[in-house]
Amino acid sequence: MSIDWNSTVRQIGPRLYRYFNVPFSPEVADDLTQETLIRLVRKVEAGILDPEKGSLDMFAFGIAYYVKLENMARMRRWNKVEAVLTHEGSNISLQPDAHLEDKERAEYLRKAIAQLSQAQQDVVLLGLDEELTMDQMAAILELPLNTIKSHLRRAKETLAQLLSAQVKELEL
Amino acid sequence: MSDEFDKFRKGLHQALSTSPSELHIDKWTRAVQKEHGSMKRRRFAPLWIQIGAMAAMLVMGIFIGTRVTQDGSSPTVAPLENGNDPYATIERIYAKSE
Repeated sequence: MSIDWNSTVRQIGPRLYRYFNVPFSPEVADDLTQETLIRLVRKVEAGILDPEKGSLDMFAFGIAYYVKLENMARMRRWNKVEAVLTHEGSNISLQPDAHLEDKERAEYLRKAIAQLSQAQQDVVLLGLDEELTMDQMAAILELPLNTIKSHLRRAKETLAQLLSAQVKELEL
Repeated sequence: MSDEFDKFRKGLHQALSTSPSELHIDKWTRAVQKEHGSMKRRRFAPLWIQIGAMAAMLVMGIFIGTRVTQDGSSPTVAPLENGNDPYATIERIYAKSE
């Protein structure tokens, strides 16, 4: 079975970018989207993933989940290095350039999502993609469907609290 | 219950929408095409190795099959018996005539 990779990139690329753009900066999200697409090509061409046995976008999000975890671990290591360099009085800044967001509301929401537990974040990030069903999300995260629903419910409640607190802060 | 989650997801989706200028689809497509090309090359390389090996074996077989020793006999053909050797017969005829 041959895959039209151009249309696959057009279809899945923006969805992957949106997934990565919440926890990471736009530059990192861009790199991770490309990395996920390349890994998808490798796995499909090597016959590891058979598109006839499951949807390609589900495979893509399964890969994206691991790419995100890898990058978070890498960032934690970098933060440790940065802490050491800062402690030693170095002027080297390892933080990416601050990205100016036009949409303040989106920025508040991103910050609020970052405060969720890891499991709730995973569910919310996959839930951002409207084309993924709850069953597919459960398969990607290897969790029961009811667990996904309860994580989503708690995430919704926590986000509502966090966002209302932010609104109150702004009003003061 | 499901509708409630769907509304929640839709709200998040709209709030965190990305502008088309942020999406580097051409760059991703180029990277994917490059990887796809290199994967195809990697997959077909063993086939060329197989064809090369078969051709080498064929050439070797032809060489061994047509090889002759210095005295003219083929190492791949059983030696002739003395009684059937045409050279020995000719030598005997010459010896008689002399």
